[in-house]
Amino acid sequence: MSTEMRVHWAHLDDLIGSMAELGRQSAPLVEYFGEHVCDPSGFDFDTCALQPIGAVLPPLSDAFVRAQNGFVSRWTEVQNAILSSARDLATTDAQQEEVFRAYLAEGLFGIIGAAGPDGPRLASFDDVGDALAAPSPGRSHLRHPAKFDAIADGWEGATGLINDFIGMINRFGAGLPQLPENLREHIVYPLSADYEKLGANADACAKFHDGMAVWSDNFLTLGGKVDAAIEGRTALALVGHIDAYAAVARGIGTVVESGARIWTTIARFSERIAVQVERVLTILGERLLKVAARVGSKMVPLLGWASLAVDLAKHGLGIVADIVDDIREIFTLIEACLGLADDIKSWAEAQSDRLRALQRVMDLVEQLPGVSAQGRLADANDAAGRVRDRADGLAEDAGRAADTDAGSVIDELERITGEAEDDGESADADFADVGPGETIIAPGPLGGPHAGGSTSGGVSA
Amino acid sequence: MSDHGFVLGTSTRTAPDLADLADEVATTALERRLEAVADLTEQVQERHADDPQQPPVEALEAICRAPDASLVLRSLGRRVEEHRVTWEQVWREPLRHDGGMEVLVAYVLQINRAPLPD
Repeated sequence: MSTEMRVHWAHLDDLIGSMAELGRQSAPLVEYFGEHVCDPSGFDFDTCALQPIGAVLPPLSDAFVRAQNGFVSRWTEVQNAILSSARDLATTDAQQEEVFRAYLAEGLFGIIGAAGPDGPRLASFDDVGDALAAPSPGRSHLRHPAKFDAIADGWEGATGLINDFIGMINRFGAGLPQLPENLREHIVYPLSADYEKLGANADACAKFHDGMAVWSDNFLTLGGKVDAAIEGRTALALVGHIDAYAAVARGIGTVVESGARIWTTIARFSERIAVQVERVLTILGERLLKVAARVGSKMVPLLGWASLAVDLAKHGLGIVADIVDDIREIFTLIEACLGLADDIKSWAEAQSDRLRALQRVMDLVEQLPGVSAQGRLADANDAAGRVRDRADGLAEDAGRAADTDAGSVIDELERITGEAEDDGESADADFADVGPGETIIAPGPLGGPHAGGSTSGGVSA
Repeated sequence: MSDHGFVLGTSTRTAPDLADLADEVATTALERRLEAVADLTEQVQERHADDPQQPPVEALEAICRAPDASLVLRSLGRRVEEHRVTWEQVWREPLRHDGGMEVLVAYVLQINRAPLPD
């Protein structure tokens, strides 16, 4: 590639249009991340003991939106820098003044603004949305008590009967509390999340990764086409930037994909909790119904509660002592279930920490090489290195967080960021003569497109 | 020399990850709690395994023969009539017999319709 900056004016707006399109492709990714990866509906019930996990999701989604804003801001800076460089080149080269007049007249943002959805393109990109299919719901992996639903349906009637009984014997001094009347609302939902919905969160992580991979590849596609619009050191530096964006996109996708294992772990354990709770409640329900039936056996047909009240008045609580004992036993079982809640909350806190670790991957965007009027190639290379180091650290965290083979994630990120590093090294080799403070991208007005070299440019043939 | 003023030598062990430890502790505690609940459930089942069974036979038969009885209830009633199962067996282990829980629930709901005394 030439060391002179050459602008193929006919394709400059194609390049800008392509960059704008890549920027817009972040929108469906952000939307998918918030809607599916961070879908909190598996923890919809307010008293769910697993809520600490659900509480992590809105901030995680917000972090991703902030990351997108940061991305768009930096990506726009890169586009402005290219146009600024081109403007400087045209201003320097009087021969190009007439050709570039239209661009100058419209202004930089006029050019970017013109690069709408139907504008010209330098490269053809795959649609990110095609990879972002709706996640598949999870499925049950364990055997559940078959009669649970029947018991849940009968719970209300049984508790109603027993609570009436408790109300009656309390008049004679039994002092028993009332049973909760809704089995699912008071015991099942607080103890277990919707593990099938959590399975969809896990699948969303994998599909999000696919979308990020498409996006990353689109950056690389653009990088391969840059020389159709501009050539020279600025073009090389731009390719370095584009590669860094590709590495970050793929890195974020890989780390989020590792989140699938966290979600799967949460979903599986949540189902295990649910099965155990259902098993206890099945036995509890059977006991409850039998106690209710025995309460019924104490009543004389047709006379109902009145006959039992008469017996209690005559003989005292002793005649129902066995039933009272059984009711106390039911309370012991209920308390054992509810006692699970504290341990489930602690476990959920630990899992939420693992998910929270995903949030740090968004910092990668902040590591992207920034471009300013004083931007230097060396800055871009340093930034690419920081991106790589940060991605490595986050991959290790994500690997640990997923409680799985962290090595595979790290290897993947090393492969990705290694590509960015290679690009940086090649750029270094090309620009070994560029010293600190010398500008390559977006030089100041009339400062020349790069230091130490010719500012001559030309229209490609 | 260590900043802390003492040297213990070089350890080949890496520091444990606190997040991992916290997760391990929480998971272990929850697993123990789940096992304790399972044990308690088994104890309750064993305690009542030999309870005398006095099924309200007439009421159960009426429930299963009712015109609006569900298929599972009618099937249960038929199996009892055919001596393939007894009401005592159903009453003792309702979860083991198709329709067992359903007839128990229906019976309790029937009792529940009795009016409360003032």
